[in-house]
Amino acid sequence: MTMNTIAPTGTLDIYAVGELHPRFAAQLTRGALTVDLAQLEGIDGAGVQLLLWAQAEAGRAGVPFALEHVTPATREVFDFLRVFPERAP
Amino acid sequence: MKQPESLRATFIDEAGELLEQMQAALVDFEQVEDRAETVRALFRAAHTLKGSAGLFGLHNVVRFAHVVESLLEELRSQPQRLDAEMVKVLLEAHDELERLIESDADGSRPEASGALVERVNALLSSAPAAHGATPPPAEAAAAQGTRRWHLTARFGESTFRDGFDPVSFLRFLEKRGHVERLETTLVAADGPFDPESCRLAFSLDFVSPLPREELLSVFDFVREQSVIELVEHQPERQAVALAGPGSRSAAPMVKVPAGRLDTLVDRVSELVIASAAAELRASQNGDRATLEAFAAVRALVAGIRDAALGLRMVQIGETFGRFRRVVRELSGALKKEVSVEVRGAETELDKAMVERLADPLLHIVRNALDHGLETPEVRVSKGKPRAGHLLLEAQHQAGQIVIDVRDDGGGLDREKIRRKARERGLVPPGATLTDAQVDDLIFAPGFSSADQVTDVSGRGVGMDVVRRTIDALRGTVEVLSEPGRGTTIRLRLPLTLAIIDGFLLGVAGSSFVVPSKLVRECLDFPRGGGDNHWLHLRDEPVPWVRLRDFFELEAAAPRRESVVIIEYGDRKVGLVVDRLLGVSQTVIKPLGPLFEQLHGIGGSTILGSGEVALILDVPQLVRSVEAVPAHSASASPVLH
Repeated sequence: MTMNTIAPTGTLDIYAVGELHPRFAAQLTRGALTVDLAQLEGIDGAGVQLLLWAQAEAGRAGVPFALEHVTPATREVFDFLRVFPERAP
Repeated sequence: MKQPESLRATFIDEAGELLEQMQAALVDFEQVEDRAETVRALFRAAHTLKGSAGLFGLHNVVRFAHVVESLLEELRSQPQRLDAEMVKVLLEAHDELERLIESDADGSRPEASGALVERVNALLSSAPAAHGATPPPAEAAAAQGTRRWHLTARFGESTFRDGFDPVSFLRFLEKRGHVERLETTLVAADGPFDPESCRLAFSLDFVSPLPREELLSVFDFVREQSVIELVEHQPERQAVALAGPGSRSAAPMVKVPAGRLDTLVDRVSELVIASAAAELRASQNGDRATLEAFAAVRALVAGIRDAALGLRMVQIGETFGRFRRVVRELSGALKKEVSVEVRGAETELDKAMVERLADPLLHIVRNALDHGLETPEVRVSKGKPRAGHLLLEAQHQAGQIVIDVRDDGGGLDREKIRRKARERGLVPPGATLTDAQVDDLIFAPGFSSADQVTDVSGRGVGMDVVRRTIDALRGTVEVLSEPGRGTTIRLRLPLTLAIIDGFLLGVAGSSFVVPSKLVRECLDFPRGGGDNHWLHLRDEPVPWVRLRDFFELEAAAPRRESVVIIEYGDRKVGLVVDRLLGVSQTVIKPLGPLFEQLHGIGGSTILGSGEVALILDVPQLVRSVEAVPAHSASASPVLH
């Protein structure tokens, strides 16, 4: 884990995005954002939307963005929505 | 149950991938530390396989997959039970599933081996369920036949706050069918991002046997705030018979990068030229045996050419589908009600063509909505249904594709067009124009008849851009309008951009090519022939043009001339030429920028002899020939 990492815990849902969004936004202005999903217990549409926004925002600003430690449960949601494809090994 | 061929192919393809995943998970199970993950992967594969087999009515596969799935489901809570012995049985089960799916191709539908079912069931720690006792729900649904759907869902901003998760709606849908494609997008919005406002939109293709209302009812709770559109795909060609072994329907699909196809088409184009050159050489040498051999080569090359171009053909339905969404959004902005109908979605045309058509079609659709269709109030006052009707239709017609965008609005306001055209100096004062000429003015550069410039259209950049784009594709665009009844914009396009069967014409030592599909007949042109540019073809007046004069070629007039009657759309035009040189496969090379302004020329090609021939721009020629005023027909040549 580096200084650029934010590691949400619990469920990344409508109740969590309000608090996380300003943290993501602030981190993006510092030049890189890595979201560590290891401790995530669940994610819903609002959570996926926040991650999509962060990715798009990072792309616009030309800032590196990465997700790490995607748990199988979160991976299943990503795969179902066809977002954040697993990188080829 | 018969299935659309392409769907079956998709199923076979997908089933193959799932079986491969199963096999890989089983074979690698000792190397993988996380046994639970292996079991999950196996379960997912078996579960998905069962679901799609059910949708395709492969009940024998469903029954056996169900047995396997039951075991895997139990293992999910006790993954440590997965051992070498169990893997051996599961590998056998994998082979059995493969056999069942393969044997479906000859329609024999055998049941899974009873002994194997017993062995799988014996591995269950709980009391073995009587096999086949509970038919999975997908099976019952599959019996009613499957339908293919395209869904776009743009969830309302308040969705999250109202306590709904768009993902769970899609999950619900997945249980009612099989999701083939899904795309998640974050819709751009004005203003700063609000993480609690939903901006998610989804577009998905899925297969489900359920009726439309039932599928839509999934979204009942969010329909008020959201834009949900469900479109049924046109039924595809039915497989003629359930395929025999090795037939195409059972063949796996292969995804190929578009760039490779383009390379292939380029190479085939070169092959066409090279073989024409070789054949010409043989013919000059008078080598009869070689010529005969070349007849076979020519047929093969033509076959390869068609096959290569066929690979790039795609259905236009997807492009049409995109406009449904555009219509939905625009009609809201314009406060109009519109129903969209699509016909001929399965019509195929070159991929490159489809891509270049998207923008012009968008302009046309926007115009129809903005200028064509009236507001509900106006429509009602005219005795029309409140909702306007927009028809998008594609069809093949004599080697061309014809695309109609038809609205049932007020038709073009010709008085207004005349007035605007005069104001803008597009028509000389005092000129009298026919209705068709007036209608054609909407394509004039800088013409816009909207009273108010709206966001939607009316900036005067629409229809002239459409005409330029369509011209560049060697097509035509015309407008057919009936006051009070509506307007149709009709595009005619060649099927492909790359190769045509060309008809070669000789004029004053130069060669010209017209697409041979447009050539109706060739006749001797009477000496002299009159100068009024009309001839009588079996009592039908046909305008003609002498290419020698049209292109201002200087050479002595030949002793006799021929006239080639070409038919473009519903119009006939005669081209008077020196010599007819026959049919030849023609690879179209675009003209360089230097020559783009050449009037009446659409491209060039290299003949087998190495000589360059110019490809006539038939639409442009037809237009300039029609501009010739009709004289009294008395002095016109009469042809029979």
